Amino acid sequence: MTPAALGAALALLLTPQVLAVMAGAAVLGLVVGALPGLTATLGVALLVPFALLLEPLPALAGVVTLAAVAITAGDLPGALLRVPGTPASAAYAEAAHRLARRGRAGLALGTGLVCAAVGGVAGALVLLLGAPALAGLALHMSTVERFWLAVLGLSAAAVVAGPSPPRGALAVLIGLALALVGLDPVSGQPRLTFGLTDLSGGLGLIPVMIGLFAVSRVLAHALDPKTDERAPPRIGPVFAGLGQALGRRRRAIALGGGVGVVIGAIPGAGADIAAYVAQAVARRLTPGRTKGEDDHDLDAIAPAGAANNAAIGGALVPATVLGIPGDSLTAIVIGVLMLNGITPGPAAFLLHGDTMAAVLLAFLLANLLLVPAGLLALALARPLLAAPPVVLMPLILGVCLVGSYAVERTTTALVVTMAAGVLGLLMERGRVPLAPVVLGLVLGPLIEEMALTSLMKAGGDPAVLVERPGALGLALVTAAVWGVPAVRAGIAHVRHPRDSD
Amino acid sequence: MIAGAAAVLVGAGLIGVAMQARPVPHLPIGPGVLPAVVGLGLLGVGAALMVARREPHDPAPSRPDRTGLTGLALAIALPLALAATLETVGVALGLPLVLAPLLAWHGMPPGRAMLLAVAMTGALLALLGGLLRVPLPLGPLAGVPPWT
Repeated sequence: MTPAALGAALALLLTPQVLAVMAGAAVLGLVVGALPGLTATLGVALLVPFALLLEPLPALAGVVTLAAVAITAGDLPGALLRVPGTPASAAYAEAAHRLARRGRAGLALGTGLVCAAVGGVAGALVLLLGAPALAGLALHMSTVERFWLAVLGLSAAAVVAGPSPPRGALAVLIGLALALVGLDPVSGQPRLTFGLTDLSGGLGLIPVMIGLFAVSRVLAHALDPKTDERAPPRIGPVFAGLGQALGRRRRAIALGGGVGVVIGAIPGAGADIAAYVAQAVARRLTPGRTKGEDDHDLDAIAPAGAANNAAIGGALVPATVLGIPGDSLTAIVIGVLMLNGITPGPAAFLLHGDTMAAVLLAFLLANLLLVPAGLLALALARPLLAAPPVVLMPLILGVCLVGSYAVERTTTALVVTMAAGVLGLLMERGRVPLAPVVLGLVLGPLIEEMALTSLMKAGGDPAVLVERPGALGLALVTAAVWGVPAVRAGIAHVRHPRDSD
Repeated sequence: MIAGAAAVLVGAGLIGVAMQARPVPHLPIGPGVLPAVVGLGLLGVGAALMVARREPHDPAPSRPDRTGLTGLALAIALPLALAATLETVGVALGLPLVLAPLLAWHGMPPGRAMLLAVAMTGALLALLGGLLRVPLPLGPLAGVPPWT
């Protein structure tokens, strides 16, 4: 982008109308992101009717601002109530909640906020400067590479999230088993639907996520009310120790941002895979930093938080440059662009160059707005934590039930939510991590579709899965994710048999 | 041990589902492939967990008492009752009937519990229905809130 084009885009962006719409969208994003069950996608969809009444630039600036703020605000219920706002924030919701129970919610959320802003700015800069090159790379990913990328994400989640890889693997497999419910993607046959038409579209990500993380906590409190009285979450100071925590993890944050942009740019991948892969990559490439429990949890938050928001910028690359939506959020962004007379694709940058550049700058500005918006959300959340668990738990249950219904619009969703809550309670008692279940549920249909499509194209020959160099590389990385810890554990067992027991 | 045994059972069940899946004519791959793979994975992981030794720092979960089990049953049964009646009763009447008994069970006086449950429901309805325009079933109260 030339300095003249940048100046023209800035002049379009920095007008009272655009800035007012962005501020309003940020407030709406805070509300939507902080309420369990309401996702950034739903928030953006709610904004669409208003976007039609506005000029193209304020409409699109509002959409990208709402998306960025809602995804980050999803960290708030994750840390305070252990209810992740988005599937991607499930990767670090438990770590943030553990910090909150030790009175360090401020540090957890502050770290998440700054990392999200850094990741988001990285994504926006890549979008501004290198979109065509990244879009070309993303287009070279065939169904086989996407299959392996999803398997890699699941493997990273299994190895990173659990107290041991077998428990992490069990959680991933539970997620994949839940993803089997619904119509088979190839033949359209109903599978595990028990004759219920409401389950034809699957169990629904939001009811399962709400049930696993939030309802399970309400049920655990009902089973043993003393659990929450022992260590209620506290916000604590936000800035104390923040600089040191971020400084120590600057490499992990940079890695998270890079992983987020690249994986976000691949259609069908997105922030969910990016957050887990970023955690695994950061753990592998920046070892030896952890000292205590707080450090361990911050190590989980920093790279995944950066990857989460960087992936939005990455996902906007194929959406704006090629008109290919990477996920449901970018599909709505494409819809808003088209409703405003801008057809996404290379021609959009030629015909509406200033507007497109201003939209990308608005995304950059939205990511800078994250920190003040997040601090405002923290201030508003303090009274919520003053409520005793006896009041808070029924309130959480009420929000969960209404949130599940609001998203799915069927009473079956309430039953699914409660069943997932019971499953979450049993998993916690069995020390099986919850977060990989969400990733398994998200990626199950993608893995099945990509694998079956590739195999059918090859007449059922499984060699097609490793024939392309990119696919082979990803398969080897996936094998290494499982093999390296197993080999290390084996060597440790031979050298120090008692310790490794 | 229990988690491992449960995984083995579910894995065997999924393999059964995979074997019952009808093959698709003219397609080399059928709808039973992923259930079979997940079922085999669950069998393997379940077996690994069953033979693994309990780690010394791995605390056993506490045994729930009768009061806790009653609270748990209430926290599960009331939302399921709401699910069964939501379309008829609506959120505005149904949700307080879930929340008030739970609040009272935790020691709040019944009158105060009902007031708080109604206030919570009103706030949720105003936020979701009024501000965010998310349609929710209102049962006999349809048309009463100002935004409907």
